[in-house]
Amino acid sequence: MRLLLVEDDDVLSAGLAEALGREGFRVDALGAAEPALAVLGHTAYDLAIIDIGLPGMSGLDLIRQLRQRGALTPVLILTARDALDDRVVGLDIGGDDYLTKPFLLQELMARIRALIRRSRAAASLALSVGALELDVQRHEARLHGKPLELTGREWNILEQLVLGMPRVVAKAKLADSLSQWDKEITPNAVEIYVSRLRSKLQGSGLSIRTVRGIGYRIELEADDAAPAA
Amino acid sequence: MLRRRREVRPLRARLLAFISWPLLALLALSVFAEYRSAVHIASQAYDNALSSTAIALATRLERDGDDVDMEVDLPPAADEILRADPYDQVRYLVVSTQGQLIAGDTPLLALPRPVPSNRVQLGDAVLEGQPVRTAAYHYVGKGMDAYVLVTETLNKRRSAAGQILFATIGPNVLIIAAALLLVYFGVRVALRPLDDLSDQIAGRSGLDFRPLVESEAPGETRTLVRSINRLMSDLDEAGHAQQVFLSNAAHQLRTPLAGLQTQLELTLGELPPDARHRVSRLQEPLGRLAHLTQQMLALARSSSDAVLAGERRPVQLHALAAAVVDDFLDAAVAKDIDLGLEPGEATVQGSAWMLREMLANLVENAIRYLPRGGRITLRCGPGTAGGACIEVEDDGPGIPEAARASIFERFRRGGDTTAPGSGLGLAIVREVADRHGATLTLSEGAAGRGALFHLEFPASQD
Repeated sequence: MRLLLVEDDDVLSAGLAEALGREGFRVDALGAAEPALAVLGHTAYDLAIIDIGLPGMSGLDLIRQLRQRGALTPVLILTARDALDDRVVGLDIGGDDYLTKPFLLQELMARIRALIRRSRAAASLALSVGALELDVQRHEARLHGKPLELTGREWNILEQLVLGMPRVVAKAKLADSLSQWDKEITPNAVEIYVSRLRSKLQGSGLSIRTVRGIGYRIELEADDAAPAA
Repeated sequence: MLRRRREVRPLRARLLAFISWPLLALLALSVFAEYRSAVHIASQAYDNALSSTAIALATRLERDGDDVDMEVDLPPAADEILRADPYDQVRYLVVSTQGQLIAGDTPLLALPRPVPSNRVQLGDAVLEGQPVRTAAYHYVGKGMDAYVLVTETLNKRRSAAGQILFATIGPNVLIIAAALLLVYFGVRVALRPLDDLSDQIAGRSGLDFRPLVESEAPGETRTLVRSINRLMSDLDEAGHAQQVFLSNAAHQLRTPLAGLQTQLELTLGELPPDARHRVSRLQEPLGRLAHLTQQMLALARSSSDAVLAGERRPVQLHALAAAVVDDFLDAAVAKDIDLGLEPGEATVQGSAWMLREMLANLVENAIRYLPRGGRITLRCGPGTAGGACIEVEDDGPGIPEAARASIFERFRRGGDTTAPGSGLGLAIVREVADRHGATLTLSEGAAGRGALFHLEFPASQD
């Protein structure tokens, strides 16, 4: 996995590069938008982490130009402002997620993994979360390397939950993902499939949490055990 | 906004006072003058009658042959008529120039005698303690002369004066009332543009710095409108400048904090166990610093007057609440707290980031003070006043009634001051509620346990 980090603060940039390196990513760190734009023109990155407040060309302009070129590289925006407008602008012009400074490394890693999962799913590549592997193209799941028997509806829900990680996926959204099977599916029907998935994921290190009034979230049990990365 | 209403009233009162009081005084003066002249005319008529009586008496004086004695040849009937005035007591006296009483009432002798003159002299005197009008005539006849003095009490004159007064005041009071009414309505109509101006300003949110419409204002107020507009634009600019400053300040503060936090996390893994413990203790104050920075900036930004005007959009409270639950799920899970939402359709006009900040602070506060295994519920839906409402309820220790008013103050914290927190969270909540015209109430949760923060948003005014 190759990442591009565009951040002008040296201390933060060096820290992030080191932390990402420890996670097994190859990181290229740049301090300004202009060289980043040039590098992105000829090197394929799995993800770009871009700070909005760069000297010279802003991070937002960098992302805009990147998208105008048709580049699909997932972009995680770092922002020192918490005005939602900045965030919305960031996502509207082609950022895929944002993180407000300061943040914990654990949070950053979770966001990066989620973005990479989503871009792999979009490219019909295999996804993996803990002991679970999903073959997006064939709709096949493996747990600890062994095939996991799932019905079509169960597969849809599991895929949505994994792609949504680490966020909560709304029950209504899960119901929508089943619309190819049933015309009118009630949110309550979702509960049935979730409960079946839970029993199939028993002992896998993955669990599905019910978030009252909203939906479900898939969690790696190890994540809870280590609150700080 | 209510306290700003009707600030122009004193002007109207001044105008009314400045016109009404002099007008009233002028009218009173005119009534008085009119009364005086009418009374003068009436009393002249009575004086003439009194003079005639005196002259008539004098013509009745005659000398009896060679007798030195004079007497008044007054037929008893005339005497009767003279004395039988239904209103006033008329008395007379005839004295020779030598001082000899010829006829009449002796008490009149006490009155001063007139100087010799061939005309009737009128005057005022007091007879037996009663004020009277007097007419004196010095008669010079055939080798004899005498004074004739007639007095008359003032009843008729007084009653006439009373009638005149009444007749004068009646119509004049009507005229005065009509004049005051005309002034009142005139002032009202003339000041209406000012009222319109006042309404135009009062009807604003307090964050609305658009210029007032200048063309609708009459000439004199146009200068005022221009000054207000200049002030508005200055405020607007100042607000924007503050936003830019805060935005830059946020960036300048947060990036080094992020670097510090990242480096600290990395260093921790490389340290020997004893040093690791010491350094890890830095994480807590660092986290608090980051949090405080975030909250102070949020508070400063939401306090800035220029913010809301440009950011007012429809915000779906249920979506916002779901996002906040998502954000705090990990923190809740870490304390084994059941954090959930009871969603209902609710949309308000406002600033999404401010409302999110507000909700986040309520949830964060609840998580902080709730013991392990507690339950936090967000709830939103239509409000009782036609708007929308949102609430955050927990089943924790609750907030004592006595502390409820003060917890929304800045840097005021709940009883347990060892719990981490900036002391700004609830101040932000109140600030945002105020900015949105929402009513914030704090009570017990269901079954009298825990705390329930309820926010009632007014029906959309836009």
